[in-house]
Amino acid sequence: MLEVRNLSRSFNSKIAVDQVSFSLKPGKITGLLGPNGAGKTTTMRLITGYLEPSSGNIFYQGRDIQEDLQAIQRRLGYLPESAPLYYDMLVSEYLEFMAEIRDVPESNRQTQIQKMIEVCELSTHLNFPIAQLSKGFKQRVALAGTLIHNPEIIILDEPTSGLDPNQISHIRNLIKNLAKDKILILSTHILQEVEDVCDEVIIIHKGKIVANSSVENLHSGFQVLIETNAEESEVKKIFQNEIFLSVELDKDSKPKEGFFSYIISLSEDKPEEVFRVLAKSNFVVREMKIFRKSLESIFEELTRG
Amino acid sequence: MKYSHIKTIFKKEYSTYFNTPIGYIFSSFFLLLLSFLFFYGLGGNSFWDLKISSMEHYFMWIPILFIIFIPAITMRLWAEEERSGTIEILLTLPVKDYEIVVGKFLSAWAFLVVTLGGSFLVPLTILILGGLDFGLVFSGYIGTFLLGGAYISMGLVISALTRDQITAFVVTLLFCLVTFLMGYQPILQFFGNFLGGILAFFSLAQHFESFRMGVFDPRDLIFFFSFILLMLSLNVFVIRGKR
Repeated sequence: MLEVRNLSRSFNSKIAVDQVSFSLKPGKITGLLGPNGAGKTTTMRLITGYLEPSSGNIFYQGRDIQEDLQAIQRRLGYLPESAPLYYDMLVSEYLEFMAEIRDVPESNRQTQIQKMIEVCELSTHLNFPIAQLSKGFKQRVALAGTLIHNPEIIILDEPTSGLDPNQISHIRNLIKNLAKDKILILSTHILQEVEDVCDEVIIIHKGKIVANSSVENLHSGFQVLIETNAEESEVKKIFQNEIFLSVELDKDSKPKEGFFSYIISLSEDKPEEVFRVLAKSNFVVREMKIFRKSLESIFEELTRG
Repeated sequence: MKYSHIKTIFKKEYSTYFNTPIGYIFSSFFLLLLSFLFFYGLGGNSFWDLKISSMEHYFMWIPILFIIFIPAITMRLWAEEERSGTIEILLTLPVKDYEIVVGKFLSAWAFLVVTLGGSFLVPLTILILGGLDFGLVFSGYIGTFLLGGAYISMGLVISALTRDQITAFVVTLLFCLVTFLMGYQPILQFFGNFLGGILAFFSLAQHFESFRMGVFDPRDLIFFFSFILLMLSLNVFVIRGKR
């Protein structure tokens, strides 16, 4: 398990990451979400050891990574944003270099390189200078270099940015296959990617964590939507119990034939309470359903201001 | 310290000199200019004017040409990693900062040795034309090698402090020029005995002078090695500062 505890980092008195704590488990893909400049990349750079924290610690399997950084870096694969590469090298030279510098034992080196060539589908371009490759290919070469030593912790900073839809789906499938027994964290601002790929999501805003839960839980948030013919004040009057946090007119749907949609927020996961109240009233109810917020609206709510 | 890491970094950097035309261009330019200045010279002290079969004047041109040549081979070393973003890969590899610094330094130094190796035709020509003091040639080359190493270590630090190659080139050139001029006689006379003496001590060209004259002084040897070590440590310090 990788545990981040009260991690902070500032640059010239400007705080980039502020008292961030979370933990990551193997076998789960965690999406790090946030607006530009929220502190995603800084958080990732801190975990990789590229940057040192101003305060706080990162533990891997109970040991502080700063104690023996190289030991952790040997088990870590990091793909920085925009996938930087040595453009004057050939693809084969780059893979050889990465395997060697990442301490892949010589006996195993060629097997690992071959495996990465297959996984990332690079066999047709091995003798091409990296500078001549398309963006999608470059991304795959960079990914191959990141994974060549079979790391336990994989950190990917916007791995699909700038790729075409086919390349995106290829990289996403690759990521899903990778995650089986590894700790995998990826940053993105494509919300659909989070729903598609991630199990867990951490939303970060202005250097602080504003949400940390499974993708499933983030959606639900204990809300019920009802469509009824009653006025807002009447609806508010009947939902007075303390379990009901708020009653709001759903702004996204228009009133139809005198029926309005309301979103009722509950403090517990008990949608039946809404039914019980409605059953006692004399409102005409057309629809009642558990309301799932879109990730877009959650993201907007959490990162506003 | 893992030698395999230093070796891998060395190999990567060294091959870059041959993967791009810039390495070939600069070494040919350096060798051509050096031979031209030695044989045809400026201001009547060329090989043919002096009519002495000695390489003293050959080694006189080296510190001056290094002022342009060395910045060209060191400018890329860190600045390019910074510009292209590969520094983020490099510094998250399971490698110690000083292993990277040493690997990079040695690659540039080795490239310099290969370039100097290309100059063997000059002593050969002189040997054929009329005898050669091998001791002088040997000490001249040792001095050249050490002076080059010192300039390279300085260029490496400057490359780590800058974000693009052009800035790294210009700043390194200025620093090489200053350390050269600090040993230049008219300037030393201007500063007088005491201040001039201090300046001369820190001038790289001044310590090279004794090698050029064939004097093998251990103090100069220690000076060059200390200078290189100091610069490499400073480089590690600069890289740590980036974290």
